[in-house]
Amino acid sequence: MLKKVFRFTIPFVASLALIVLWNGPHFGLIRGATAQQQSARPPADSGGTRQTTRLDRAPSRVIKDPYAGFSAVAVDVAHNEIILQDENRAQIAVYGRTDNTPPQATLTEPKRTIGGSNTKIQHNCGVYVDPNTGDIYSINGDITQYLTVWSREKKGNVAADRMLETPHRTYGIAVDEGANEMFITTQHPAAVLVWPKTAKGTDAPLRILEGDHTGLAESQGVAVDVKNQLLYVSNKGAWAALKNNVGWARLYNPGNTTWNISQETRILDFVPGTGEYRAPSITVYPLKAKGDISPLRVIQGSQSRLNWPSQMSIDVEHQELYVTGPVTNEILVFRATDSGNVAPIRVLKGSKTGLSTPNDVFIDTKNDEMLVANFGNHSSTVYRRTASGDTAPIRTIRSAPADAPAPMFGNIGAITYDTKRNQFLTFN
Amino acid sequence: MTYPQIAAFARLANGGMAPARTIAGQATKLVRDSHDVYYDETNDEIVVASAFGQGILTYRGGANGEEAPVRVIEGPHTQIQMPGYGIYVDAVHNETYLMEGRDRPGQEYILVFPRNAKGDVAPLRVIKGPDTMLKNARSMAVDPVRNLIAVASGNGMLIFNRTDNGNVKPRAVIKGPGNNNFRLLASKGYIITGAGGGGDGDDSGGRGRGARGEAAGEGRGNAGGRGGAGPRATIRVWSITDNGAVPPLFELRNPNGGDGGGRIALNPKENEVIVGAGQSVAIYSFPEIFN
Repeated sequence: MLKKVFRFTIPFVASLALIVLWNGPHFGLIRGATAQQQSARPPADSGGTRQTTRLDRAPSRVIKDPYAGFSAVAVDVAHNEIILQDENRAQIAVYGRTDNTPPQATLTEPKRTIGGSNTKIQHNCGVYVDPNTGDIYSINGDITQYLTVWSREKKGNVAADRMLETPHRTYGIAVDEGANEMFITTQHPAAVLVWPKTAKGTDAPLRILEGDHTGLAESQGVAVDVKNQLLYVSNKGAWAALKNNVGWARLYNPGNTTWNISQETRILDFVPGTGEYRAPSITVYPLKAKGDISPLRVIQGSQSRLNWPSQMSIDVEHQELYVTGPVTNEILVFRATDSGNVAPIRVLKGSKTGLSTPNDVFIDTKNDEMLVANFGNHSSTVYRRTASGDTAPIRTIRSAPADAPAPMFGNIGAITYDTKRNQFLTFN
Repeated sequence: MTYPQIAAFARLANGGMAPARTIAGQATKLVRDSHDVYYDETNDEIVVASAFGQGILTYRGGANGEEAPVRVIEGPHTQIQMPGYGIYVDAVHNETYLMEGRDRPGQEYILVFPRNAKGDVAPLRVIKGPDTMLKNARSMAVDPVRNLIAVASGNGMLIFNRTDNGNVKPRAVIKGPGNNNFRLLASKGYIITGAGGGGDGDDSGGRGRGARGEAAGEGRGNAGGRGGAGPRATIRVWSITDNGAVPPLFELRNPNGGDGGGRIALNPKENEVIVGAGQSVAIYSFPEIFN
């Protein structure tokens, strides 16, 4: 009997074990496959039979700034007009030079605007106005890779009179009217590119300042001192080494007046792992500087108060350099000859100034005034040129009610949700 | 682009609102051109890539003002060159994922670091090579439940095994989702994408991105100007276990047109999907996918 039970039990147990192993999660391991390899089996094509659940639904809430947000400013001295870049609505707004929004008024309407899909204006962060003709030169810092130029009578959704293809991430612009040369910065790779002022299409730059020795790092604003033949550049500080220390210059077409600028060639190679965060600076070069040359002078250090320095303006007559401080809501004024870890000679700062994320400053030497584009409060504020401390503006152009909040969406690159604080976070 | 800040808005913000707090300034090391930011709920941290400084920056969840990151991954061993199109924290396995090879279609790779790493550390794993199908790749997410990685690319949504390493083929490719940002609802295994709306441009350049041509501002040279409603805002949902040319499980459209975008976040607690691009953010109630 015992023998009979034994004879029956052994095959039964063995069969049971096989069934368990076959259906068990680790059977594949017995056959030599890892758990990872098991999960690597692709799912079958799941298309074909699915019915999509379709819903029509409007959003519960929308956060959007309906008003103009000013990122750059220039004065057309000849025609008594203020030209403001409105990055919020991708347009250029032109106001009368002496416009002043009364405290009780909602806003001041611009005399004219240029904006719309035909204009190619996007993330317009820099502006230059020809002092003779009133032509407007607009920097597009993102998405559309053009410098766009309009004659002063243009308005509405019109194509630019002239467009110049530029690298990605252009930011600042200045012009040497005597030499008919136009200086444009790129943030990364940091460079100053110089074109004829009349350049268009794929015209090549006359010269490029870039490279390890230049001290350029996340370059922003640019100013030129024609009298002393000097070039000033503000730098926020992030930097990485270019492969073979060549950036935009590799796009030159030897013997040709055009260069190989295109969507594909705007991509540059950096050396992995060389990234640095340098202290912010103002670097100074000979006006005709090109290639990888060291600056003549550098303003840098804790005394300088530089913190994400943005656009600049130079007063050649008084030899003063004006620098915006958007983080600290300051306008810093340096001697044009300053060098090293120096304090500004004047600082405009305080609750009365109306400064809020000031991104650009313009010195109107004819009218002895300083104009500021405030990205943080829908305003452009005007001061006496030598204003300092907590000084109220003499005029203010507002594009919104005085208490209108500004979300300051530059270009939302990403969103995430903070579940602990019940907040959503955006990154410009 | 004028001011590269992280701005936090109250959940119920509406209209023209000022942020409740911002992270900006020299000490933050933030630069422009980061097209992903991730809030790590488990560790209460904000993580973002630095495109210009070649690093991964981690901040306190409650960071405010000019606050320095608590950790920075940077240096020659990191292999970080020009990131910014995708960052993700797998808090279950304590790993941080970074998309590399920005703007170099076909040369992208995924770096995986220990979450707590700082300084010049080598990645734990690198997904890289021609078999990976990484081309015009952007954001990614880890499904710790199913042990999978989803990667938005111009070749479709690529699904890898979580611990894949080297030149590996994706285990599945979902054709349909665009190669923009997306979020993963891990509890359901849902891949959620946003598109359209607003008429605002996007500097990804339109190289293969955008579900069925509805992503905003396609083509670098063609965008320009804002103010129009643009294409209809659309939110689409697939399953991470999908494969092939499969229609979405859900498709939510704004009948009024705009108010959308390819940037996206989820608020599971309130059953909301947050989408945006350019200069606007819109919040949609979408309980069908959360419940």
